[in-house]
Amino acid sequence: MNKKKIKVFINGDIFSFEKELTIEAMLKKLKIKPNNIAIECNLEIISKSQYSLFKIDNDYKIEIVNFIGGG
Amino acid sequence: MGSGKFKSFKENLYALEASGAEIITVAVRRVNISKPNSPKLTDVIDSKKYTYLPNSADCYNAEEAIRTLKLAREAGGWDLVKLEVIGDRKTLYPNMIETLKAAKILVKDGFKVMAYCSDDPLLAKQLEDCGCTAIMPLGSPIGSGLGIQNKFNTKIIIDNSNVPVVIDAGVGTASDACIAMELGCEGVLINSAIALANNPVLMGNSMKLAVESGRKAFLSGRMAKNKFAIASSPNKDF
Repeated sequence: MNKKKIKVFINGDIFSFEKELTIEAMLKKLKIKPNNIAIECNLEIISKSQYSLFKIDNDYKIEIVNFIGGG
Repeated sequence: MGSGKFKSFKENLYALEASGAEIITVAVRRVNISKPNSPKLTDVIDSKKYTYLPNSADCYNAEEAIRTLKLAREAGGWDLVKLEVIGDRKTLYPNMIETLKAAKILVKDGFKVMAYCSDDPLLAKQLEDCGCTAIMPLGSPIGSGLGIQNKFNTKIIIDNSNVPVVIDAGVGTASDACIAMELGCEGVLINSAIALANNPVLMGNSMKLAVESGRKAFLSGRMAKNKFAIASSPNKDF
């Protein structure tokens, strides 16, 4: 693997990004709007105020969730 | 009202409007990464107009339920949640031991917990004692449409409770909702009965009328039941 790249798991799938990527930049790359979603990195919830600061790293397990229909 | 099983978000919205419901339950699931621009429920049903009630559906222990509801709070910014911890895939009955465990932790963490529970009056009381905002006993299994199978237990739960009791699960048609309200419930949570009706919007409206009718019957105080006939006309005096 290229040294400047990292591999992360997002919602169970493998993605490759450049190093030092923030959550905010990751969402932009994935074309996901940040409203009404929650993000968990390695089972820790990342608050929205941290999206522009928190950097993802190699092998991080990231969950991005939203609301769907349910009873 | 629930938001599962509808053919479209629009149908869900129209049925919601027709039902007069003020709260809509939602589930928390993974974003579809491959289709980030696909329409979302939150685009169609306005969270400023309706109160979103995230649930912990499909969670089988306290830990999973707490994790799910914390994600929901982060996603929506709301602390009112519907706690459900399922114990069995076939019946979808609640695991009450795990439900109580989760409720205590969530309440301590500042959540307002509406708890899906069995119709056991003692366990329902324990949920109230640990700080739940509302008690939501099942009428019958989720999605069964079998109505309220144990009215006596439901009535005991209502009589014992100092917090709102909402029948959650089992309502199949309008009369079931009406019976729940006649018993003294403060509300009903309905999903399948509306979503799976041939005309969900019309059924949504029939639920509105049933709930209003049942509530008024409860508030007006029904007549006593008698074993034998009591004539409505005075005895003949000629």
